[in-house]
Amino acid sequence: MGSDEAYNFVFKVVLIGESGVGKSNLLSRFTKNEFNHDSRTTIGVEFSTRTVQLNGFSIKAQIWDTAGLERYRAITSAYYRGAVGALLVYDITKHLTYESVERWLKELYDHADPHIVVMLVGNKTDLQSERSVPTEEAKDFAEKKDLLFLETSALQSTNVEAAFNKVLEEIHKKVSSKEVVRGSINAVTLNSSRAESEEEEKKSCCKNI
Amino acid sequence: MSLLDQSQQLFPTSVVVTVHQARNLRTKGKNGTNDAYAIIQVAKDKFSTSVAEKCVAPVWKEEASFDLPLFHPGNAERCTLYVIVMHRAQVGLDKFLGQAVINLTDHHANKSRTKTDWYKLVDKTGKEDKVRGEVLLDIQFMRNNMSASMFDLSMQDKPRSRLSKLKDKVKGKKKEGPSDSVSAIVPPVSQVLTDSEGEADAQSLNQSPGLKKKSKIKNPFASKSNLHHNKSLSLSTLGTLPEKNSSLSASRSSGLNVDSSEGKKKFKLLGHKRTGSSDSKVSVGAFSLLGRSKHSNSEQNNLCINGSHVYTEEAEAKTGSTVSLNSSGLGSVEDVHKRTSVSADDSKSVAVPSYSHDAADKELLEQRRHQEEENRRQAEEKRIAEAKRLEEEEKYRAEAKRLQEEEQRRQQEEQERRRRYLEDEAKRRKQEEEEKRNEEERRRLEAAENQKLEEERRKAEEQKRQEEASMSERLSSLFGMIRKKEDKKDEVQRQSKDEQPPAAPESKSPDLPVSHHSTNPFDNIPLHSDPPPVGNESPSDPQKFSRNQQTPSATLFLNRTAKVSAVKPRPHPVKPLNSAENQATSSSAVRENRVWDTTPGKTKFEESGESGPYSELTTEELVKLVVKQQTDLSKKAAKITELEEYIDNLLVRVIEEKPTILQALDIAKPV
Repeated sequence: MGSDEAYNFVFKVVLIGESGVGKSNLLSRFTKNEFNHDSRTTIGVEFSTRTVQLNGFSIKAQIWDTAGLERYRAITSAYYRGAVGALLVYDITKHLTYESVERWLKELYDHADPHIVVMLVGNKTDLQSERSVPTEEAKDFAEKKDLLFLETSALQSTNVEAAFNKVLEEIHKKVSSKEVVRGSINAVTLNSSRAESEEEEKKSCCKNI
Repeated sequence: MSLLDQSQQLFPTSVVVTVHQARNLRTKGKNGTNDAYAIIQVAKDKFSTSVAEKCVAPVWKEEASFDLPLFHPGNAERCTLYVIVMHRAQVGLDKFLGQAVINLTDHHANKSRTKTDWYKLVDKTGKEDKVRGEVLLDIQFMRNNMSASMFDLSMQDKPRSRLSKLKDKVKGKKKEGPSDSVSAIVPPVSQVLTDSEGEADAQSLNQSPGLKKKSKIKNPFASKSNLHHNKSLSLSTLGTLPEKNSSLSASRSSGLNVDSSEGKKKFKLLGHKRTGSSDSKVSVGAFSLLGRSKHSNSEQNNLCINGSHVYTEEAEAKTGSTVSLNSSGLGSVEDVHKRTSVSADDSKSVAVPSYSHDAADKELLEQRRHQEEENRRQAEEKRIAEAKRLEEEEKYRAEAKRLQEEEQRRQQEEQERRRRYLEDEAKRRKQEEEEKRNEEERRRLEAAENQKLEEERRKAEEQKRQEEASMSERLSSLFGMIRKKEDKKDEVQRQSKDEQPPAAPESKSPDLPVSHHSTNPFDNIPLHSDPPPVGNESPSDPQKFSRNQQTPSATLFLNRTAKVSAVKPRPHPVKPLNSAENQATSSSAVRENRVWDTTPGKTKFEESGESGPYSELTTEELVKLVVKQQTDLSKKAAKITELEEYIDNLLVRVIEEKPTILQALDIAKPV
């Protein structure tokens, strides 16, 4: 996971969604290829990183995870600050978690960069028999809201990579096309390490533009 | 919360509705009569009276108490009282006879609130369609800002609490926090006790540290409660006629005399060691009971009378007596101690002087005689006191242990018996229910078939009961448990009553709270946190029954109602438990409801722990305990929230200043 690996970009991606939809397991699946069957509710905030290669770029995904609690938390704005990507996760077997997606979207747009790349993620596709949110419905919703959409299974490791990679790719696209304003870039370099600055100099990162 | 406070300050927190009788009812039953009962409802709390069979003007005289958590005109829904008079149909659904709808806020605003009045019955929609008769209601608003005082009052009318508490002591049970009222009274007892023991200072030291020791000392007297009763009975007369001191039973007066003389330590004449010891026992027992009794006021007065009567001339010898001398000049040592240790009971100290004045003359005469006797006794005692005290203590302890064991054994037996009864009763009741409900079906069915059917139904009900996750069920289970404990109390009392046939009936006439109604046969349970009887089958108050008769079935009835009421698909679900809870937790009922909602497992767990540490507590104590726990819980919840916020704030700072720390958490785990 090398924090000392060389990379071109650091993208902060946040995981949001109702409690129990599988955010933490998506994260651990992506960053550690682990799945915890009896994971508890996330307490506090933590992030994991994984560096992926995209179009020849080395992109360090800094993925933040926190409890999907309803109540307002002081960390909310800090949590979203600087995020350039978000995975809005719901549980395909629990329609309520899907119904609250709009609420999460609102919170996201209230606190995060308006250019943030958002993917709607229907998790737990391994529980097809219990599905209560039709794929098409969510897909239509995502299109309407201009969100990316994928259904995943952290347990079966289905589409997890694809989901994160897609988000990172989109972010990278935006960054490359200079859509992302400077403010956002600061967030990207939030984890300003030595390697990063070197890379930035070398690759003439958008930050310098 | 703030709303609750507000409502407490400005509005009554509960209302006690007494349904006395009804008249001019429409007749729906056979022969122009009704089997009428009334449902008393405020918000979602419902009570049902017993069924007054075959009458046109049913008389119930039953009361129900409702919590009024949000008592203001805007909350009309919660503040409307419905008294629905129904006819218990033999077959099919019970028939509606009429209902009285009373807006409690209006009623409260209208200053005629404590008045008993006839209310017209209207139809289901609240309109006066035809003559449906009237119902005589008594509506009294209560404001109990201090729920604790309420409990105290309600404890007063329960003789068993005294004994059960005694038993608690016997069993070495330490009182939990909520039993403040008890402990507030008990300490003086121990003081008195030690004083009466004269030189037993060492013993007093032993006693004072913990209730446990006290209990051991008191324990032996539990079985001697004949004396207590004599005493307490005579006490009531004494309260009015202090001159009767002299006519007290020999044992008692001598006991007190001994106490007093011992307390003096001044007279050291020869004494009868044995009598002295037994006397002291008596007095201790009496005191212990007195101290606990809710009539402690009058009783202690009597004690003081005796004390002063003995001490009159010797008072000046006692240094501590100055306090009590304030008005009478006849202050007794006991008095002093009581006063000093129970600073709470003002009434006591006020009442004392007058009595002692009255008694003084006679006492003077008697004193001489007493003194000689006592002094003799005293002297002997002094000699042997040291050794004897130790002996006695040992003896007491041994006896205590024995009694404890005995009690335990008895209790076990009782429990078993009770359980058996419970089962029988439950079965019987179910059968009865079935009979009523399915009479038509049953006519067609053979007896065997019928039984089968019932079996099935019973099973279904069982299942339903298990599945029922609603709060009412949970509450009912909790309070069913509480009632069980209470039953146990009753048993305890029964046991002690077995030992002492002349039970103390006077303790049943409590200082009633505001709701007291002289014509009300349910005087004994005015502010009792238990609801009035469900009375579907038994028209009498189970509480009262258990108290008066002490029949197992009566106590069982409590269990039965507690359990069944929540489950039975009655047309008018009676929820006595709800209101018990409401009243008990009057100030924070709403909040606590919520809390209970979220802790279903807890109550169930507690229910199973029937013989657990709470088995010896009375309902009031349990309710207090629950209230306290709830308060603690909410405090803890608040603290947790605070901590969470604090952590969040810390997190924010971390995120903003050094987010890599948060990654460390993750990295710490094996990758």
